[in-house]
Amino acid sequence: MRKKFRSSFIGTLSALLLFLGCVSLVNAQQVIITSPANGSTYSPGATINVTASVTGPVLGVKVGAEDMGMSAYQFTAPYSLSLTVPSGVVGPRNLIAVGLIANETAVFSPPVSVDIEPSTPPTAINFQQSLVAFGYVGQQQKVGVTATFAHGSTLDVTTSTLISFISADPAKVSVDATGLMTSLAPGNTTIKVTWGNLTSTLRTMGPSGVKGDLDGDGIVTVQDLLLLEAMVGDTPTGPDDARDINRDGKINNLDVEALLTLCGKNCPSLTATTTSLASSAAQVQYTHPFTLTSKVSGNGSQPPTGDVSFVVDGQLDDIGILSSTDQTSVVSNSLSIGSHTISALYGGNLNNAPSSSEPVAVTVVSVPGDVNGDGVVNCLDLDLVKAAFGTKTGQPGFNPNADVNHDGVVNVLDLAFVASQLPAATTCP
Amino acid sequence: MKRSTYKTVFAAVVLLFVFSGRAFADGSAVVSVQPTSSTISSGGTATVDVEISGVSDLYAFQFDVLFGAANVSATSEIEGSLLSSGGTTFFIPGTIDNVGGSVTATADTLIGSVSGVDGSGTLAVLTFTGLTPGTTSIDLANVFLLDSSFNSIDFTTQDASVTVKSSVITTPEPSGLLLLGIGLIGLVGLARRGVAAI
Repeated sequence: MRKKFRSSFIGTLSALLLFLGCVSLVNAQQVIITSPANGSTYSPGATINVTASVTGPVLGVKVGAEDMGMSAYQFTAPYSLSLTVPSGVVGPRNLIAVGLIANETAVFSPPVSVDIEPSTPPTAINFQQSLVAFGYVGQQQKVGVTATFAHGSTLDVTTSTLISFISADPAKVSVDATGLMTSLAPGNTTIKVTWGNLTSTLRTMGPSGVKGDLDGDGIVTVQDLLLLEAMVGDTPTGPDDARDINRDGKINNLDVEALLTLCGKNCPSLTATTTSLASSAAQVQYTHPFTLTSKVSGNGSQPPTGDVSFVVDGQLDDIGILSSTDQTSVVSNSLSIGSHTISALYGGNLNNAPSSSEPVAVTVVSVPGDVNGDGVVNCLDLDLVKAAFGTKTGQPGFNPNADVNHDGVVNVLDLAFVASQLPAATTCP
Repeated sequence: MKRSTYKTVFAAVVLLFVFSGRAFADGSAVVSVQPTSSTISSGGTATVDVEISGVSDLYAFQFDVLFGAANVSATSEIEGSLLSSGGTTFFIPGTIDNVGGSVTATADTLIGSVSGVDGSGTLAVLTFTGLTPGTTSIDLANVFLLDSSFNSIDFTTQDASVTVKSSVITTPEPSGLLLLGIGLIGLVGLARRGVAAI
C-alpha cells in the first residue's frame, strides 16, 4: 500500500516539473532584429526601418542605436519601427531592439551593425589639426578628419569606414583605424588619411628626445615641470615613457625632482623645502584607520602649495592637498597585515622645490601587541619580546615584530606596550 | 654675635631648607644602588639592591649595571618587590657579562591596564662575588622609567662601590713580639732605677 502511494507521488511530481519546464521554455522572451541585415549602409539623414521578431509575450518593442536615440515603443506585433539617422552621424553603429517584459524589465536583441556613410563622395578631405605635437613617448592623441562635398557642406568623417590612416614611420607614431595615434619614439613623421583618391597629410612632431622635454618644444622649461606635476601618480605607458624620467617604473615626485635638475636655469629659482611625515600610530589594527600627516616647510616668501603624494612600499597610495598651514593629512585603513614603509613626496611648485620625507614604518597587525600574529595578545608575545630584548636592528636576535614602536630597538617601551594589552592580573611564567 | 645677625643667619637657613625641600619635592625619582658602599672578602658574596625613591605611577623600567670585572663577578639577579606590589609583572633578568663587567637589559613591567606604583622600594636584587682585592664602582646606565601612559619618568641615579679585601689575616711574627717584650721590660727597669735614685 505504502509502496504504491510512493510511486504514484513520484510520478505526479515528475509530471508537474516537466510541465513547468515546458511552460518556462514557451514563455522565454527573445527579441531579434530581422531587418535590416548586418552591414547595411545608410546615409546621414536617412530613415532606418527596423523589423523585430519576438518570441514569448512582451508588453512592447522599441529600437535604438548610439547617437540615434530610441524609437517609441510599439505594443502590438508585427513590430516595425523606424530610426532617423542624424545628419552629423558617420560610421558604424549597432542597432538594438528592446522587448519590454514588465515594468523596468526588458530583453535585448543581438546587435545588428549598420554603416552610416555619405551618399556622395567628398571632393576633399582634411585633417582637423594642422600639427600634432607629442610630449612623451606613449602619449596618445586622436586625429579628426573633415570631408568637404561638392555643394560646399562639410562632415566629420573621422569614424567613416571609407577612410584609412597610415603612418609614414610606424616606429615613431602608430595609428589605428579610428585615428588614434600613439607616440612610440622621438622624432617627427606624418600621418596620411585616404578616401579613394583623396588624401590629406598630418605632420606629427616629437617627442623631441630631449630628456625632460614633455611638451615637445625641444627644451626643458617650467611648462614641462607643470605638465609633469599634473601627471604625478600616472602609470608609465612603457619603459620609454618620457615622464618616467628616472626610469624607476613610476611617475612620481622623484621624477619632478629629476626634471628640475634638467630644467636648470629655465626653471625659476626654487626655495628648498623639507617634508615631514608622521603617522598617528606605529602599529595599527587591521582595517582600523590611522592618519598620515605631512607638513612641508619652505624658507621662501611664497608658501608651499600643491599636493603631497603618500607612497606606501613604493606605490602611490594617496594624495593630499596642502592646506593653508602647509600640511595635509590622509586617513588610511586599507593596508594589509604586515610592516609597511611610508614616505611623503612634495612635488613643489613654481617657487618651492620638491622634497621627500624620511620613511615612516607602520605595522598593521590583527591585534595591537600581537607580536606573533596569532590574533591574540598573550604571554607568548611577551616571550618573543623577551627573546629579542635589548637587540637593535641588524643585530642577531632582533625581531622587527617585537620592535612594536619601530624605533629600531627592542626595549622596555615595546615590553610595556605588549604587557599592557594583556588582561590585568595575567601571570606569565 | 648680635641678635640681628642671628636672625639673618636663621632666615637664610630656613630659606635654604624651604627651597631645597621644594626642589626635592618637584625633582625626579632617584634610582640608586644600595648600599652605597660595602666590603666583602675575596670569594665572599655581596648583595646589592637597585632601589628607587620618590617615584609616581611607575609601570615599567629597564636598566644596566656596570662593574669592574677584575674585582667582582655578578652571579644572579632577581626581581625586587616594588613593581609586583602593583599587580602581576613580567621580569626580564639582565644578561650577565663577567668579562666586560655588565648586567645589561634588566627590565620589568606590570601587566594589563593598571596604574603604576608610587613611592619607594626595590627594583631588583643583584649578587656579586668578590675576586681580586680592590674597590670597584657599581654604576647604573641606560635607565628607563615608564609610567602607565608609556611616558618617560624623570630620574637621577646614584651609584655605589664594593671593596674586596683579601681573605688572609696578617698576624705579627713571634720574633717581633719577643723584641717588643724585651724592650718594654727594659723601659720599666730604667724607670724604676730612676725613681730609686731620687
